[in-house]
Amino acid sequence: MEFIWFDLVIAMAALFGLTAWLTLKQKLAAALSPLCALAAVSMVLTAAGMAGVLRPAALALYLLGFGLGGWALYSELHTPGGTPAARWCAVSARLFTPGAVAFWLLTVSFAVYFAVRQPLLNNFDEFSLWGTAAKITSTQNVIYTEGEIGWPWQGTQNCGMMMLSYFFQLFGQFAAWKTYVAYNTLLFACFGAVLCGLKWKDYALAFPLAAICWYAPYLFTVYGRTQYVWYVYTTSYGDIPAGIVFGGAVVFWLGLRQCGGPFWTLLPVLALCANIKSNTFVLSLAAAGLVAADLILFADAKPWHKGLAGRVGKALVAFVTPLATYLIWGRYTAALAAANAEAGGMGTTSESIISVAVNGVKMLLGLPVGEYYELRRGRFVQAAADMLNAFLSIRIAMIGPGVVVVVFLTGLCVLAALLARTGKEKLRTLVLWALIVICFAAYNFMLVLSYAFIFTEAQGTALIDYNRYLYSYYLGWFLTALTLLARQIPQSRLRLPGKAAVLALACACVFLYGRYVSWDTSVFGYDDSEFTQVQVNQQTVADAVEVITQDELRQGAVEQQRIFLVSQGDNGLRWFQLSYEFLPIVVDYSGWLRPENSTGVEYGAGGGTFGLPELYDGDVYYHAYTQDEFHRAVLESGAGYLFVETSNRIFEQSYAALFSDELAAAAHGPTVYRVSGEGFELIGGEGAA
Amino acid sequence: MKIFAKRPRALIPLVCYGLAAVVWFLLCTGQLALDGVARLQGRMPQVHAPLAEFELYALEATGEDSLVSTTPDPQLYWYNPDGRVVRSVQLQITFPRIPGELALYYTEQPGEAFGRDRKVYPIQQADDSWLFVLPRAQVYSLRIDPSSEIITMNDVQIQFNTGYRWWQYYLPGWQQAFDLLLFPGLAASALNILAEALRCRKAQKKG
Repeated sequence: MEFIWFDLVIAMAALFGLTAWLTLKQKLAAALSPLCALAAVSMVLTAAGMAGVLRPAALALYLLGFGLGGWALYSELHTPGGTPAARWCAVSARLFTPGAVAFWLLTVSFAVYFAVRQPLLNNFDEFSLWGTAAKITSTQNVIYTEGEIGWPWQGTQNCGMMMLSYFFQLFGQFAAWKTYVAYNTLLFACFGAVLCGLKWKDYALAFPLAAICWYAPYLFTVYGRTQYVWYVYTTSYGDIPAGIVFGGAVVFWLGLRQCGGPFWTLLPVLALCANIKSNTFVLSLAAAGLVAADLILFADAKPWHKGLAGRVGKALVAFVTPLATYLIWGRYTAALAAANAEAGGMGTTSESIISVAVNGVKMLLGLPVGEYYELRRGRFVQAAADMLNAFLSIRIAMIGPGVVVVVFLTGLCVLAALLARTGKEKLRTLVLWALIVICFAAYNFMLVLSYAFIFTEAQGTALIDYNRYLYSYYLGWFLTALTLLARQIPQSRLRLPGKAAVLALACACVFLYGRYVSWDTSVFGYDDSEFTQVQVNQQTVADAVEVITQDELRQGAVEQQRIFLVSQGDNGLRWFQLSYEFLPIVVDYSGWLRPENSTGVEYGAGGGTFGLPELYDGDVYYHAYTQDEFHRAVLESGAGYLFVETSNRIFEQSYAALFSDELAAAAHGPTVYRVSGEGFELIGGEGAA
Repeated sequence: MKIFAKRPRALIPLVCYGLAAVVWFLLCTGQLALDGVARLQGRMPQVHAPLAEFELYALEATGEDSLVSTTPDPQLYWYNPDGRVVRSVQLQITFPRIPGELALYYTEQPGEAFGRDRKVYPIQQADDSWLFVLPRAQVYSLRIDPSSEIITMNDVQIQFNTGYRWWQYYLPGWQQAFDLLLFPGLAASALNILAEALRCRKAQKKG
């Protein structure tokens, strides 16, 4: 049997090395080390990817992990004094705190579980971006924005998550389940950080906290009894990590302050927070703002102004880190988009988030704005009203609509303030809560601006993906509130009621999960048949690749081939799915960006449905090409093969004459044809592929 | 060991997890023993069930052991004729392509509707058969959904109470494994809080 997960084992060993070094040599709490290590890995690989040295950098990180970890362990175990057993115990006690053990236990358990179940990608945006980007990174060893893919547009979404996926499967074959393991590892690192500062004797607090964290993504994303598989720990979407890492950055800071450790370790976490999705820039600024306020307002030293300059400096660095990440990524993708447009692809189409923010604030203040914004003033007002209405009435989490969630989270923060032992701690907790609320208002304002000025009118009117954007923030807020609570309880005079409250919350999570998440839709209960369509795709693609591999007239290596896709009736999903499955073979966008022969149909590309203009049947992705145009489109694409995944009567009537078998084989199933100047030649016999 | 003498509350999690393991072992052994008795008494026969014993819905028999589904929701119904124990159903079918979802539903009483609360997914075996393991319940009727496609099914073989070995009684499912990790931990936390509360109360009384 193939040892399919050895790459994960090596990656985890390297990760352990990095965390051991951070804990033993940098004096960072063991519960925080995994988050710092993962964030650093992601950011180093992002920078290396942009510089074009992704694989060497990844190898260097592995060497660093083994080297630094080995050195840290060796030197700590060979310090003079004490017996070897005592030194082992001392090192183990530092490395295996409740937070660190929670992290490793969850990480290893899920790695084993996913290695057995091997879930696959299954959702639209996983094929159209998240999963495909991860696969490009792994199969081509480049940052996905520069990978070879059939998209005519330039990918601009941040790549922090894809880099983690890359790191975890550097030495093995790409698999979606390994990507899930990587992403869950990041979530678990944030959960572990929540437990920072707790000792083993606090297990009555630590265990329920860990359980609450595990349930948190369900708590804030499920809003009704689930009927279909609910993708929480089996998704490559960035929304849940965005929220958890936003919370994780604040939690990391609170832990750093409580347990000590170098300030620089916070910076990769803040940077990663800004490098998950484009909208997480706002979340990372909120996290940096909370850190800065906590640093400046609540000094450990007395008097308050002692060391103020240093604290202000650190606060500035905390702000600059996500800002720099955002700006550098923005510049990088803008340059790529311009180059892409020059090469005949699409350029950038939406307004920059900073321009939108500036003009939005101007509108609020009644100042004049540019024509683009003036034209959309009505949409801005409407979006604000819709968002308010949604906040009050649309059920977004298990416990209710946004207003209920905010009251609940406020309750947790107030409880943390009540449990705090000193007046200063009470004030600190309440100030942090107030800042989270202010940032929440600002985040909502940014969403209003996005719906009004960045999204299409239809998306704005429907508040498309409202849940996804909001639960990111709630998740971060929840983790922060939990941490505020957890760090007060062990020292509190009301320690027992505090622990009982956390335990009650954990039990409530278990109850709500049981009530809302049907067993067969959960991460443990889903059936493999969930992936039937994806398995069919895999089989189809494997058969097609086999045919191409055996083609004696093939030019170049199999993985260098380009395929033109025909899938009659496709709504875009098939193109994305098959593009993903065929990688590293590239599926061409399959059609001109704009139809030369216009029949009033604007969609001219993206694989799908082709036919003669006179046979146009109203299909939204219909490519109305004459026979000559279709042949020319295929030739100009540079594809060596034409893959007819689904044929139909219109396609046969339109182009049968171009095919050596007049599409007889394609009538029976997916078929591969070799492209030539004369037409398309059947290879591999009838029913090939 | 010193830690337990110094801090007896450190023992609580060990006791809780130990107790959970013992309870799990006893429950599984009990079920194994009951099934053993039922087997000895002939109430749990390992039998091949011919297709003639099943009511077909959205399925057409094309031979003695061949079926074809007429909709994407084909179903086979079976009513327990003699109150026999059904612990597992092993399904062997040759499909021409990926068959989609296979599932089994069961009811425990007459008049009960089939629903997702009494639904079982199969585990594909090394010999390519599908094994449905039913929880400890008195089965009144079964509904087997052999596919979620319009598809032909050849060499259909259905067997009751085969393919499930004694040691498999002790293997928890994934959710059960998670529960075995979660609930003893929560119980230990609750007991710890209770113990601390009692200690505080004692201290207050003394004080």
